[in-house]
Amino acid sequence: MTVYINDISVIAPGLIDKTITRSILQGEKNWIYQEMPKLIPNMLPANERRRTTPMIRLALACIQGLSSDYNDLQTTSTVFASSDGDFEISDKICSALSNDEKIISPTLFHNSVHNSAAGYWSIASLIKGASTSISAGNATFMSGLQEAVTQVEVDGGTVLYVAYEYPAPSSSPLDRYSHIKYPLAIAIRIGKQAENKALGTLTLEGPENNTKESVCRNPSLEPLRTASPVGHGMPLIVALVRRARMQVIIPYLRDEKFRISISH
Amino acid sequence: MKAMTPMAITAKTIVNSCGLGEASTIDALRNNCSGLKQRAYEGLNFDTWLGIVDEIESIEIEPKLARYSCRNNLLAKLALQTDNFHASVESAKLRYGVERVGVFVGTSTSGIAETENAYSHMHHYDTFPDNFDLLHTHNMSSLQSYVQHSLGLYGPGHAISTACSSSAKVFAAAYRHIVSGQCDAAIVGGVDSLCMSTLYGFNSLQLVSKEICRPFDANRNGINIGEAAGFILLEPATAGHGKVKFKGYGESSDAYHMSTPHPKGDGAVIAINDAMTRASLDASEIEYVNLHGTATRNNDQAEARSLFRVFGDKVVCSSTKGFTGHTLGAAGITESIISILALEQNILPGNLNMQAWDETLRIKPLEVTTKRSVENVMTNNFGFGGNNCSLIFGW
Repeated sequence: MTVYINDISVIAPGLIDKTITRSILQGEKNWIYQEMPKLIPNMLPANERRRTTPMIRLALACIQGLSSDYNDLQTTSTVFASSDGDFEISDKICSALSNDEKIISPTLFHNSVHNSAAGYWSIASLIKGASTSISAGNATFMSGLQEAVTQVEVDGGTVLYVAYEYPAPSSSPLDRYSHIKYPLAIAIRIGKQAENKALGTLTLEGPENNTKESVCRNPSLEPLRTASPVGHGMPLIVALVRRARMQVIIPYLRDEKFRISISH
Repeated sequence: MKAMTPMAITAKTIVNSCGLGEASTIDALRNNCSGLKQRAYEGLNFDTWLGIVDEIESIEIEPKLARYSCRNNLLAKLALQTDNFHASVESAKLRYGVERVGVFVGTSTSGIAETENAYSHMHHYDTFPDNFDLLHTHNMSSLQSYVQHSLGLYGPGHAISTACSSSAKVFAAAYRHIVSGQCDAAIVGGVDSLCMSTLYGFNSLQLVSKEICRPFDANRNGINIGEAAGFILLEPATAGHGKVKFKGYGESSDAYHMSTPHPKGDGAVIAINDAMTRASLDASEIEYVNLHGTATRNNDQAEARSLFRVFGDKVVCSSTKGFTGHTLGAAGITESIISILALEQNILPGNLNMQAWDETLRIKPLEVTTKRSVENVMTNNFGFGGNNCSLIFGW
């Protein structure tokens, strides 16, 4: 399956400013952890914006980093992928339920769905196309990318792929059990046709066994790659920004990997 | 949009409060008998009717998969061991190979009940239980991973979690993976089990009825929550000659509100029309629609408007949530299997519990289960976040 990568965006601590992010991904600068600023999803009306959580804002801010010229809102589909969803919401709901009163607010509840970020994005963008929200544990980045590429292959149109993870609040007991160390969101717009600013094509092959997953060319990014299931997508983003013609190997279910060939 | 290559439904299993297996659901439908009961449930401090699967209490997860143990995966296991489903999967494994059968499942809350219990444990003992396993229970992928391991399948797949449309969308995902050659067949399904998050959550939105739920009734006042599981073996139609086929899917977003449907049903109309386009059928050829029909004021009104826009007021339809309750992330698979049973058994399910039809909706559901043989049926599922999915099944 071969598709065009028409735009990409990434957000993480220390990867906020676009110019700095680009030079880090190109290997000109080292990545260093920096506190995340409060992200503001400008595209949402104020009443909706107030209801968003840091995880939702991370996903939306990442999509905001893409150019937003959608030709046809009806045929743009979205694939949202997150292994663990919104720990802050799980923590608040489960805490509330452990008290005798068991009071959950309506906003807390409607933010608890795994497709919360997708729902807010559709409200912001008015895109009425198909939208899925998936989880596949450690294989989440690759499974989401596979679903997005498959949608383009079978149904055509443009697919906006957004993968994101957000750590549990440090005050939450879930923090001890979570494998997510840093927030990270990656957004990729793919299609069967090349747009003006297309970065190249991507071909998926696999799954295969007995291959080693790719690491980041800039070793300072390694902590980010290993910090969450979405981190497995970092070598792909690095390759696309470096405009290198190469293959990256990304973990899938079990011990399998996908081989992704990039051409420009 | 391209027409779909139909896929055959070659095996299926269904478990809900009407009982274990197809026969129990068929009996309930034929006898207009609900699985919902007004009863207490541990931890619940308000009155409502529930669709409980009591048999969950009497089974255990396979010892080698013990870390997946939670109410949701127990319910999955119960369904997998019902209706000879295992035997059909074993046969598919022989025909296609274990790497060539995908697993696509939907759930809205997975095993979050384990995390609820862990917080409750902490409230009393200041610590989480020793055996708490976030990734293998609470995580949305737990169900997909458990089903793959339990069935010994090594194909592609993922868990879809788009609230109450989750296990409808699995048909679209599985279809795309099959036609793009990434697998030859797929298990599609869904499971949602009772948990405090959804019970108290829907109650906070004042959407839970104290009475038995009455879809499309003038006095409807909310949902009853039920738990359910269902799985289907989906194969290219050539392998399932003479079986009911999955013919079309339509997926859309309301782009309107997180928990209220678009008042005119705009998103639903897109999903319904796309499903018909893919099935190469027009509105006159859809002979029955299984409604999402949750029995909330807003859902039923928006859905009725969307149906009226596509089919007019003569459409034959019903909500079967009066039988099973709203099974949330399992509603898609539950109502897909009910729609398939309607085709196979030559019955159209009644809209149980409706006493006084809401005439303002203009769409009037079938009051009782009726004998009729039909060619093509549709089922609708709509979820929070404005996520819509329509599916078409037929001969």
